[in-house]
Amino acid sequence: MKGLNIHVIEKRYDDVVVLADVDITIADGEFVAIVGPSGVGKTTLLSMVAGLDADYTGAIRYDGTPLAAPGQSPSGLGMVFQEPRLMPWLTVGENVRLAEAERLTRDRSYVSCADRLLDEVGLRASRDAWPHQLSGGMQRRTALARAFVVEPWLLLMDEPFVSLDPLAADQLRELLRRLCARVRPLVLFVTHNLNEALVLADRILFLGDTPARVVLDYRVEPTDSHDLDSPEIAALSRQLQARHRGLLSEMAGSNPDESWRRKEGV
Amino acid sequence: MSSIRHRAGAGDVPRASGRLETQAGAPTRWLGSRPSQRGWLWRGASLIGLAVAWEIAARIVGSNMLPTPVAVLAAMYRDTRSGQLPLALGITMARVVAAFVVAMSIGTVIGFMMGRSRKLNLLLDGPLVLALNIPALVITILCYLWLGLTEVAVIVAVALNKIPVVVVTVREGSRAIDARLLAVAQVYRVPRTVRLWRVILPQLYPYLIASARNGLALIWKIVLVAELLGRSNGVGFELSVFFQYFDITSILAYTLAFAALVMIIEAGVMRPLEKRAMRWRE
Repeated sequence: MKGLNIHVIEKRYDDVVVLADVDITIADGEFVAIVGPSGVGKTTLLSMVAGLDADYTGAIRYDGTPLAAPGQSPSGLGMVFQEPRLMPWLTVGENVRLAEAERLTRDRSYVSCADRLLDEVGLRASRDAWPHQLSGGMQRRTALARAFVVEPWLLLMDEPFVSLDPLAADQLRELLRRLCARVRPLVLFVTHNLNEALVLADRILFLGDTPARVVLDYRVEPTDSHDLDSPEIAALSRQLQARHRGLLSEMAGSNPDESWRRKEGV
Repeated sequence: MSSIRHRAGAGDVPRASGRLETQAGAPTRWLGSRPSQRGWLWRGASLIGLAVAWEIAARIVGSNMLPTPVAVLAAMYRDTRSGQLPLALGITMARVVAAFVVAMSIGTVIGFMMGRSRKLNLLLDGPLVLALNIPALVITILCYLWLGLTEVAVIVAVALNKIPVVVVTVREGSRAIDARLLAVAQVYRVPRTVRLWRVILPQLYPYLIASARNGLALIWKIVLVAELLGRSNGVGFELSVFFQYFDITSILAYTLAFAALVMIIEAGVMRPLEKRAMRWRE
């Protein structure tokens, strides 16, 4: 089987089955958004792919071979968490280079691309700053630089742009799009914002039900709109929600943008 | 649990507060307060005040039982010139440093592992409480009996006294290690040594520094007792001789000289180290 195959027979926390019968196959370079109500197991799924959670039955394979040894993370992985998760005692540059440490010990002739990445995310001038001196948006840029410095073939993102002001979030999405266009990783992007998923992804997987499974596998028609609030995206979102009313009603409630729109009657 | 911590004097460990929660906001100042210029002024004033009060008291008493500060300084000068004081200080300091290094390394390793492993903690918590409650004197006497009146016995005795205290503090620190940052290290497959130095140890620094500071003070006191009991050199031995001759002036001279040395190390080594380790909070 080609590509990344995530097959979860069962994942439980104590007595509660959170995920069951999940079987997803994703092609190289595909940008997949994972959408679903909070607590459905989106983050759990990412942790399993990242090798941070090995306590489940099933298998995660790439081109038919296991992605990584049990309890280990796959090589060539980039990951962006909900919080920036920078080491506060390392400078911005050192934080980015931390992701290169493995490569550096493996390959003595390897030259760090941290500076280039910092250039790309517009943080060249902050290279020697401490993380706490940066704004929330800049901290996330650093986390992005750290994820892309390893030239990842697989990129996992767990609601990376929440709790940012809309402008900063827009800029970060634009930056992500640019970096992805260059590196072309396979992306799993967890979000609870349907519009964000529509703007970024080639394909959206909706998780739902208890225990959670993929309730809808939706291929996004490519649009030129990069604006979360553009009429085009709004129409797409409305269309999708009209067609799958039962399935997405829960979603809309958990999406602050949507509830705002309903109240205002837009 | 809390009673152990209290007894060990580890309750005043600064919280590793600059971690993730506060990353976006203003960094919390470390509790171990950075002395400003004014702070030094106050410290100096209090020491001078103490010396003045001592001088006045000595003049009032007017006996050999309480020599004046000037007489003590004169004794210090006399024995410094003869070489007796520097030699004693050097020997004692060497023992302090050796015991300190041994206690800190062993205590850190055990404390770290106990903080990370529940099973190991259950296994070793009982012996730890026991060790914390054995008087320094008992450990010292036993070491001399078992190992003879040797240099090794001194180092072992003093280290054994300090290790449990280090363990308690470092265990607290290793429990506070942020799993979210460890996850970052795992995801990027950061090699072990880099992980230790760049991800794990920085989270332990506040605890290691607190432990080192308490340690220096505790260790030199125990070293003096051990020297008095079973060595024929060092400050403790000299004190035992002065004790036999009722030489209070020399007792005070040697004690103050060593205390001053410890304070210099604190200001010249410990503080700069702390500053360097914590510079990211500025």
